[in-house]
Amino acid sequence: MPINSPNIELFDQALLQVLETNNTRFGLTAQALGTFCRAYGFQPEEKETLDRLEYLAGKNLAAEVPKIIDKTFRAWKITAAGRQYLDDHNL
Amino acid sequence: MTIIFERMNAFKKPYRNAVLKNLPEEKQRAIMEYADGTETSKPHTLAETLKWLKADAITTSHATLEDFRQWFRLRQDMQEDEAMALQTVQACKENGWIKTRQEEEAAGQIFFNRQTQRRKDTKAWVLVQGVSLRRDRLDLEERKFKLLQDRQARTKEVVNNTQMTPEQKEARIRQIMGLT
Repeated sequence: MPINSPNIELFDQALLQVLETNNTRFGLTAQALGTFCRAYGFQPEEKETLDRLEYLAGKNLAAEVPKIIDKTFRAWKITAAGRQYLDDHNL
Repeated sequence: MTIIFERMNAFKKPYRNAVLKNLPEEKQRAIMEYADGTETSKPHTLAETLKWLKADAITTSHATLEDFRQWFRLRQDMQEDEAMALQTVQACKENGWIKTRQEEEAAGQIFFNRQTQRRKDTKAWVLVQGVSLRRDRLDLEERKFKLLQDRQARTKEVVNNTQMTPEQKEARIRQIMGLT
């Protein structure tokens, strides 16, 4: 499924669903998230996933794990608001 | 490890509407075992599992159950990946490659994501190999069928040949069948 305007909300929801599934101490990278989103019918480029993660972070639905040593390594987790969003949308 | 998970789960806001995802982990595991079967029990269809859940006063839909199963498997995979990452970090610490708490956190993140990626890639590889194997088998069956058809046609020609003696026919047929 292409990540264009009619599908973008579905892609955001897929990202949040994968992030919600991860109940480990670690965050997920854009690359890993993109791979998991294949199950939802998406095959995003890493850049597309990153753009949407930044958008979701801006909406406080996802959060970037603080960069510790390697500043280029970026990982993400869901926020309480993200869970609330999934809950509100019965996802 | 379990303590960490329990502590983390306790912080999580439960889904208000997700009936299956809100069940205790033991019950969730029992549902998976009922649906998928174990070494000692047979698997059940989604309809059978829904009926089984209903008898336990848990009413849900086909789609929700399927979604739950996918969610549970992925969550389980991620927990295993976390455990693997933590083990690797521990080994690195023991070898003196990781010294600080910060290095430990960073390495854990990297190992975890590598492991999740590898698992996904392995699953995809197994799937591709499975498809390829099935395709190879089909090709082989097709080749066998064509060979049989060809032999039948050639044998028929020999049988209908009025100029050959019965001995010549037999010898030729044996040759076609690869018996000589």
